[in-house]
Amino acid sequence: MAEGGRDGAWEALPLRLLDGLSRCCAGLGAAALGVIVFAYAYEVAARYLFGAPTEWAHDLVRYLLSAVVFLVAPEVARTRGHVAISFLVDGLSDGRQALALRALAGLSALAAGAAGFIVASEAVRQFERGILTIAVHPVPKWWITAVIALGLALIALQFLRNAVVPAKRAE
Amino acid sequence: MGWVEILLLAIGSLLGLMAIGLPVFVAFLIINAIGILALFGSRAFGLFANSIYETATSDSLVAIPLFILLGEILFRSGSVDVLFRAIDTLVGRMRGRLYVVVIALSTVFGALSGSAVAVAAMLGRSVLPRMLALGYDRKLSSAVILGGASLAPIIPPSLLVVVVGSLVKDVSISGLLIAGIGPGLLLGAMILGYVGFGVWRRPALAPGSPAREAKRGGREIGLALLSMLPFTLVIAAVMGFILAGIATPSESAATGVISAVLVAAIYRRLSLGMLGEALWGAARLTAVILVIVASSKLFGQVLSFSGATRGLVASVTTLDLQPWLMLLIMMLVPFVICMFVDQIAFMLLAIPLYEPLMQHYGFDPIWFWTLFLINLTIGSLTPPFGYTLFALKGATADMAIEAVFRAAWPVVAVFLAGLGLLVLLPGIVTLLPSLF
Repeated sequence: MAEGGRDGAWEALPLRLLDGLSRCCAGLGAAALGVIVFAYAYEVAARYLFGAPTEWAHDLVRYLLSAVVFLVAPEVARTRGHVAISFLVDGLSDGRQALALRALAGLSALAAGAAGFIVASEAVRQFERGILTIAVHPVPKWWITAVIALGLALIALQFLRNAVVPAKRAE
Repeated sequence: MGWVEILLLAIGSLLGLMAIGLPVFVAFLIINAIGILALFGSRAFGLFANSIYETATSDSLVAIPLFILLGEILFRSGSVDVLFRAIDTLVGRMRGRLYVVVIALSTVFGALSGSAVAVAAMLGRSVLPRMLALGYDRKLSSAVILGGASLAPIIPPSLLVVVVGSLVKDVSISGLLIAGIGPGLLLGAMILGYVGFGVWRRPALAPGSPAREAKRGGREIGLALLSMLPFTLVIAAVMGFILAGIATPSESAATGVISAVLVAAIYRRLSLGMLGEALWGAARLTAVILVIVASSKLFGQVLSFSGATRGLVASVTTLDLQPWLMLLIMMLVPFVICMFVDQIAFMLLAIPLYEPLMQHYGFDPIWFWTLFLINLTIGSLTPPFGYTLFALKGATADMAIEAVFRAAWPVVAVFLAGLGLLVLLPGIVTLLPSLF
């Protein structure tokens, strides 16, 4: 058995690529959190020790927050770590529970996929119209929206693989 | 369709989707997308995307990952073990001393961590086995840990406060954070009173102190106090900076993280591996919490666009209820619903409906939202669904969930009594924020 209780036959290249991409995004999201710490600590020090507040820290931190949330969320979905009220499913027999979990993962994949499509469409619209963020140093808004769309798309794919090949719940 | 039908359909469908076991954020995504489609058609889906964007790039929500990271660094580095030993020494010899140690420790942990789950898991793994081995009563020990851990979301820094403060108008996150200090100390004292009364009534609940425990002289006390000093750095960097107006809650959370790293270094427990694990743990929990917040933000706007919020407020206004009765209803609803529903999910569902009602009845926003937050904390403690309960159960393999539930009820009663006191004496909540 491979990690997560999956059958080895299912560990095909696309699935390994999906997992690799999710883990890579999650690593970037965690790194973004580290950058947030230093950006804000630098901002406080620059403002009070050097009397020269930065113009970029607040904007950078806001953008990075979206990366922390939406780049890490797919890895959480892979391990079924998202918050769900599970007492009804927990009360089912093993066979029915497995079936219910697959159905829920399938529905979640549809919902997250649709949300990802909507957000991606908005990113395309922002790109076409050249919309910028409202900030001291504006950047194209689609950069951030695209990260959110990527996160939702990966979440959808992870839910889909959980519908097909159920993974164990996160510790 | 009238506002009553819309409100019942929206809330009923949302709770129904959650109840069948869909991830909470997925339930919000589905209802919001359907709501926008029904109200405005697919051309308005930009609202849906922008609502997620605005929440995921909210400056005030940055405090959440930073507060989580602060706690992760202190817990994973083992720095809190130093705190445990110091408080253990300071409490000294008395009947049932470990109960007192847990409450004192939890109060200090409350000022270092915003998560009841983290504190319950830590105390359940480290202190509970020691208490049971020494002959402490299992139910009372578990109750004290549950109560102590539940102080963490009330005493600043608090994750729930940041979420509420970022969603409601007319109240600052700083004010809400500071408002938690008085109630946190009051509830800590009440748990202590409950334990003292219980041990006085039934001395068998607590063994006496073995001679080897808490053997202390002036030198031991001095060393214990000295070893706690570095933690004042964290508290000063977080609450001190907020109170002095030096930094916003998010910025002070970042300086708190830096000081937590310094504390770990002072105790020689700093390593790159530990920092990596802490970053990953914090990023993961942040994603779990904020993906729900980002997905749910539009729900309030959908209710508002549909006229349901306006209809509810107008209808409640015509009922002409006494403010105390309205407050009782508004507090009773989360208490009951949070027995079954995740409290963050409920909070995000309720805030858009509660905010206009609170304004109509003229409740002080700091006071009202603090009561609401304490109520949600009680929700996390109330069987059968509560993260704090599950965290303690997860940390203690040999304890049945039913035993954890039995231990929780007296703590729920103590917290409800505390909530009653805060209703009668609002100054406990509002005094400190009014000074800064």
